[in-house]
Amino acid sequence: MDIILFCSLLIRRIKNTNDDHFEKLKMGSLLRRIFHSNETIKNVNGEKAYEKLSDLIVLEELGDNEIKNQFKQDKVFRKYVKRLKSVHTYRRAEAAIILGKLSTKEAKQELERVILQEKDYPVKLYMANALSDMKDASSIPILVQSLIGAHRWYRDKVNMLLADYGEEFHEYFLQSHNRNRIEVQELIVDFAMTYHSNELKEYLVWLIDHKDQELSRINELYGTSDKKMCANCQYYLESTNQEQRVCKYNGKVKADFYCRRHKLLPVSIYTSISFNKVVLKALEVLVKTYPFILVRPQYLNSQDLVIKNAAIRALAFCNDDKSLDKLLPFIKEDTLLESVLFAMTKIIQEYPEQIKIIANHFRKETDPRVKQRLASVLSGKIEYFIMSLVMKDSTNERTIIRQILTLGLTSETIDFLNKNKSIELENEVISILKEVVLESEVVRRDVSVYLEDRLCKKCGIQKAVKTTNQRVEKKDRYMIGVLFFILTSVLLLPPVLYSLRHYELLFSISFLEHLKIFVVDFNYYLAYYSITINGVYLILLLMSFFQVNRQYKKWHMKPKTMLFKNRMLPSVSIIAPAFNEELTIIENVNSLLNLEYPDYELVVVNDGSSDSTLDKLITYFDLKRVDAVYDAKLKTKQILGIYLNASIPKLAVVDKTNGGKADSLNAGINYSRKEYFCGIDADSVLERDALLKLASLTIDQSKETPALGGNVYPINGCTVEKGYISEKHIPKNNLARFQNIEYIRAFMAGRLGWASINSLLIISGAFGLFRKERIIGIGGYLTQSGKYEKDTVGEDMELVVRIRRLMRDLKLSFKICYAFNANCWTQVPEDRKSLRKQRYRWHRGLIEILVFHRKMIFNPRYGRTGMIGMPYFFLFEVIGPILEVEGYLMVIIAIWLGMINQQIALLLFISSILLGTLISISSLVITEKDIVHFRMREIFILLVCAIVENFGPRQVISLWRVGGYFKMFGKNNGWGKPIRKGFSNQKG
Amino acid sequence: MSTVQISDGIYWVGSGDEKAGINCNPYLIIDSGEGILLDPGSVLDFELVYSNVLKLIPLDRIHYVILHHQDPDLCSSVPLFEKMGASFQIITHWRASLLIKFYGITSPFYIINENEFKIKLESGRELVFIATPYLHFPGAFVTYDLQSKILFSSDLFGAFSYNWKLFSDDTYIEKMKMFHEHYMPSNEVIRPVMEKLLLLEIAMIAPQHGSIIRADVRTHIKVLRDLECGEYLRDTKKEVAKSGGYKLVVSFVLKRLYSIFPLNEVEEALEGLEISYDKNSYEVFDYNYRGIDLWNGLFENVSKKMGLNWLVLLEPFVNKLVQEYDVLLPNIYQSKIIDVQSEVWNLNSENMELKKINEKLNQNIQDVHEQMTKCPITGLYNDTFFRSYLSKSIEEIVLDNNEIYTSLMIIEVDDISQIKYTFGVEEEDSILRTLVILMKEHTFGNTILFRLQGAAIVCYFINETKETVNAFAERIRNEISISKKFIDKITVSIGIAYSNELDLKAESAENVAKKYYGIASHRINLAKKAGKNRICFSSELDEKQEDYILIADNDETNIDVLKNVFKNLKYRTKAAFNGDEIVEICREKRPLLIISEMMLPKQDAMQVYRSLQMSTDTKNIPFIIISSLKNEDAVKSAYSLGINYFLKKPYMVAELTGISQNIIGGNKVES
Repeated sequence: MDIILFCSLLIRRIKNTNDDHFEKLKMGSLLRRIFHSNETIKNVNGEKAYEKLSDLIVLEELGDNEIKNQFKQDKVFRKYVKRLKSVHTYRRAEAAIILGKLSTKEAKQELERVILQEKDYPVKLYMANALSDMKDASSIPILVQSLIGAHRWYRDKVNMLLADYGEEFHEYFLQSHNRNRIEVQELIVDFAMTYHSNELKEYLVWLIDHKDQELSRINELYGTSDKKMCANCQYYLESTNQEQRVCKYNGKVKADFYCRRHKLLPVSIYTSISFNKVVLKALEVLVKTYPFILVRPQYLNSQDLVIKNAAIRALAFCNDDKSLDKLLPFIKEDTLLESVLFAMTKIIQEYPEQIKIIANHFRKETDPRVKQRLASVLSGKIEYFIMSLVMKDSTNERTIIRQILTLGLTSETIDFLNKNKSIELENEVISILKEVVLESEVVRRDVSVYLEDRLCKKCGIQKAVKTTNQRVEKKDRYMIGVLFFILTSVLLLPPVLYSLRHYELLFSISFLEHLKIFVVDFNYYLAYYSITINGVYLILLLMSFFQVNRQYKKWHMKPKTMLFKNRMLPSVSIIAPAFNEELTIIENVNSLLNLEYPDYELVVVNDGSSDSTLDKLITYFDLKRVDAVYDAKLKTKQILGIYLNASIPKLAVVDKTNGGKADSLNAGINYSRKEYFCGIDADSVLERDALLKLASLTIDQSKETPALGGNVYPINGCTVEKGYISEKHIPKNNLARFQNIEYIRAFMAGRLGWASINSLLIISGAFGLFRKERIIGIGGYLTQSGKYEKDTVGEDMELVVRIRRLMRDLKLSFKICYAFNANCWTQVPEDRKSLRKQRYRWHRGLIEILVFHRKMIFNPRYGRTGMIGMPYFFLFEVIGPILEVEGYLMVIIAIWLGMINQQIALLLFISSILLGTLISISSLVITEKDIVHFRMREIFILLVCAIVENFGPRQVISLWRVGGYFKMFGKNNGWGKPIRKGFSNQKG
Repeated sequence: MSTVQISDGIYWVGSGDEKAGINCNPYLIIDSGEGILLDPGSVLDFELVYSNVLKLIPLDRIHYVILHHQDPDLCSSVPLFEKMGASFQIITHWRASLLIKFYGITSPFYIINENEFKIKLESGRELVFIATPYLHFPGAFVTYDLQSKILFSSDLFGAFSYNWKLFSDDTYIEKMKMFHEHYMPSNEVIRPVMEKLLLLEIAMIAPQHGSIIRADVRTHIKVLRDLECGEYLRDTKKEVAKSGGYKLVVSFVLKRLYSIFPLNEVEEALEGLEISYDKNSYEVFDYNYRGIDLWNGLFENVSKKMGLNWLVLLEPFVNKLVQEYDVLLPNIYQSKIIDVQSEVWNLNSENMELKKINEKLNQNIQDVHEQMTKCPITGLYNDTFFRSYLSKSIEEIVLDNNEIYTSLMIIEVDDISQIKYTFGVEEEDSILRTLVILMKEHTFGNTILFRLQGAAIVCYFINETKETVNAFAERIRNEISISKKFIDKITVSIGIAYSNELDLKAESAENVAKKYYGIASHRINLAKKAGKNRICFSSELDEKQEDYILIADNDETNIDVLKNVFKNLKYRTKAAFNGDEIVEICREKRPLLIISEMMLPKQDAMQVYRSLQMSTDTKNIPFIIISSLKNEDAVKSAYSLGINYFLKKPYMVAELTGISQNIIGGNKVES
């Protein structure tokens, strides 16, 4: 079996290279065909090459009918039309994509025919995308039709596809009268963001003018989601009048009728909230595109605060000298403050000459509150005011600077002082700072932390000494109790079983006899246990095989252009906590800044490092500390500062006091501004398309995907240049090689399998993608300072378990996915000591989680998680190692007593060695499915490792896990992180 | 004015008259029929105060008069009270008592020093006296009434009182500060007293001048605690006193001397000075002069022993000390010769040859000294000075037949007329001022700045390599274009000329100077014509002739496609697979055009574009982005950086070739 699998690996390798070769040839001839039309194409089946090329350039305009016809033959066409009706979703999707590329009239008709009936939203989306790629205006009505009653997930994306039609959609908009559905209203407003016309403007104005009437009409039309009625049922067709509705099954019915078929319409959930969002969006478009409408007195003095605020923001977009005069009276009102400040700041950004006008107002103003606000508007220009201090009369500038500093906006001034070399300016600024420091404790702290020593002295302040606080973990008495209970039960179980089985012998034979029988018995138990666990692995493996095939196909059929379309993939904040990572931080940040992904940002969280991590970041990326304001939804340790560089908008560094990885992630979540966040270990490197591959799973699920996990490999053998893996190798260190095969097995056979039955419980902390809203909803990662006031070393797994728990409690359907080909490369320990420590930590984390969520174990309320996932971990991962170690002990005793029998030996051998190797090799096969990582020679080494692993390393790891278990009874002496090696050490 | 009861049994009994901004506040405490008069006032106020007092209490019930110090404005009326038949004890400090006698006072003294700084009245009520030495008399003190919590503060908390009011208002703090700045010696003296007062619970402060403070008492105390007073001590340099005296600054100078000159020479230079210092740390621990004399003497000695050059070399350091420690510039530096010399010459090499030249040039500088004027805004030498200086300098170099290499750089603010129009003429001044500050931060060694007419600055480099000068120019240009220190984003154009481009001996120095300047200003015009925010290093056209198109993508297929496309159009192409490669290739040879994917390994297209911007050479290469990622944010930031076009994949080949050919224009090169 092992050999067969291995051969299949070899064959696949050769086939892959061949395939690649053929594809290249096909592409080559296709290119030649296009650009030098005197050649003819030899390969007929070049549709894949054709598809790839059409992702790159618009082939239509090349106008070569011959090529087109060659690919648009009936044969291909018929094959895929048939597939449109396949029962497999991915086949339907694939058919939609290919037909879309063929881009013939017939293909269009076929797609239009099936799209309305399609029930699976991902497939429906592929169809919509294919239709929109053809750019034929006649599909617009059908695409719009497909929006009605559809899920928000689908609507959001298709709205953007429709908006891409531009002029043609505008034509449709002018003629359409179907504007009373909220789906269409959303569509038009989305369209108005990208297309501008008088009619659209009028529509938006109408929408905000008739806001209230529309809201009540829409509530009437869709009903409210808490009350079952015809209007919010999926089978509702139309209404003849106020009282009468028409149902698909029951014909004419009363308005409040509902039957057993009633199925809630997705649009009806939170209708009024959705409508308010539409109005907000409409206002935003008006503000940015048609500001002159909003600055009319009727809106500026509107009773509706939302509209009034928008009108004020619109003032900033009017290219008008009087905007500022109009804004000034509003500055006193607290409810409008944010908008007024936004508008003023924008005005002086665009028209710097207005700075002087505001400065003048500041001088004349007597109300201290207004003065404060004006100063905060001017704060962005503080460097300019500082430079003015050397002028003869700079009293006003002085007061402005003083006021800005008093507001606590000190970053730029401190930065200025630290870099400045003019003693004259220094004296001026220091004299202002001196006064402010006496008044404000906050400023005093900032200055003492960030200002240089010499300047601090000049201000009369003691430079703050950096303190690193040691976290103390509390000893959990309850936990120890539980642990003790489990341990005694496990230890007592075999003797109890023994006495039950051999009840009759119990008092009739000697102790030695007893021991002999007991040992033999126990060896059998161990063999059975071993077979069971390997059986579980085999089942998982089997499922992995299916899953990997599906995922592989799905990834390869996704058109890249589609992934990069607006709103297709969620926006992502990558959060990389860093604690004493000075050796690798620059490389890692560089790698994370250059990922292939449509919309993402990177938030590095410096978790109170005691080395130069932060300084390195500041110098390398030329960062500046800024006074950023954001909403901290999760409680974390104190945030010390936010660092940005205006010319690298993607990057932010959050500096905070030490609080552990989970706490840093929470701090990162607070600062992040995107829909999803991706937790990353700062010592790992992502492949460039890893995030894309991982996030692309979201368009294959019509369910919510609150968490997605990626794949982790050891980076130890690879060459890394500027954060980019240039050569992939297996590690040179033997210990790391064993871990390599272990990782491959755990991810490919384990997680992939678990994910396929939607019971994935672990997403590695090194690379996981989470929906931010959900994570905030459950209170973020488990930390001492967070909601549950509890720490765990297994924060990554705990989070997933808690998501599952919450989603089940809320009765929401969801899926936690795993991408086998989204790769993250991370450092693994190369010496026994740190490896042992790591394993202790992992095991401790696992036990903590199981104890914390003990209510879920064997609880049918939590579905598969409660009945399969959690029990698996409890039985095989917590109790298992203890039994295993106990078993090895017995084997040794058996050998010592000279009574090991062949049967047991064989059983043990087969079950652990052969099965184990089988699983390892299969995992290797799976891992090579998408990308070829390692050379053949290295694969052989890994194979040898996989076999050798069974004779020693595996047992040692079991021992360590038991060690971890026992360690939990004792005093916790910190969980030191392993010592890092710089990547540069690994070159060559 | 009649009396005012300020608290239970405590009265203000003054006249309310102001004399040159000073009014006097006598107070009367009546405690179960026993009267205490505080600072009764001057002869001039006597009649009014006297009648005020009598309204409240019979004269014989006044048992004590408190005199906080010996000034006439509060003591001089006491003999008159005595004459009226009053019999009381004078409560005061022994130091004051010695002087008070001279008013002819005959009443017995109650010396607070001998009575534990307090007095117990008949009723058992206690008044406490707090010494406030040197505020503003060594024996000054204030009185604190434990019962009413009122502080009778004498001169402290007083104020000049134009438009006097009995009780203080918001404007009082400023008045009070001014009074103290004039009368109180220094922050060091006032601070500890105020710290002490902050510990007391004080309901009201009743000063002898100015107004009674009822509200925000603590704020008033804090203001005085932090006040930098002693206006008339300015000249004696409080800063230096605070930080360790002249001893400290002299130690700094010694340290500096030892770090740049050989040991024996320094010892020679210091010979004859009566100071002792630690030979390892160079810290001075004893000297035999007044501080200021030591400071001046040190430099005179150095100048006498080692000559002017040492002084010149020390000059920037001394200037820094002068500004930072607020000491006076040593006398020798104030002499005119050194002033001119040190401003202009900043020699930092040991090259004796150069030193000689410098001395000669100094002579010249003195020659032109008559015409010398500085620009009032930037503090730089002006146009006229620059012209005569330049020709003198050339003359000198020629005369000496010396291989001295110089460069002349003109920096001009772009679009200055537009700036003047938008922000007003005065903004030009502040832009120039900021510009000079920015430039000074980067100048080094032998660089002199001049201000020309209009918004232009000249930098003259002596013996700096071309590379250093060019790098300086690039750095300045970039720094200015991203600086937030100007009111709006501004840019500069730079033209540089180098002395080896001229034949210095061919003509008269004056003509050569004209030519030299002519080349630089010609180049600045070239730079402006080429699109501003540029540096022009040479008058000829670029020698790095570009002849290829650079295609960058991570995806081989796209590179193949583009190669094919441009091959058909007869262009040469080169390919880059990551961001670093683009930059490398461009540094070697400039391409006609860059066509790049947005997302590249190592550096994305935006980063690449930004690093190309850093150098004038690669700055204006046309840049087209083709990417699957084209959203509002990406497009916005790309165009705001200056990228020419942003196309989305799949793109129309015709569109790309059209755009490319439009950009390249006539530069097409056959492959």
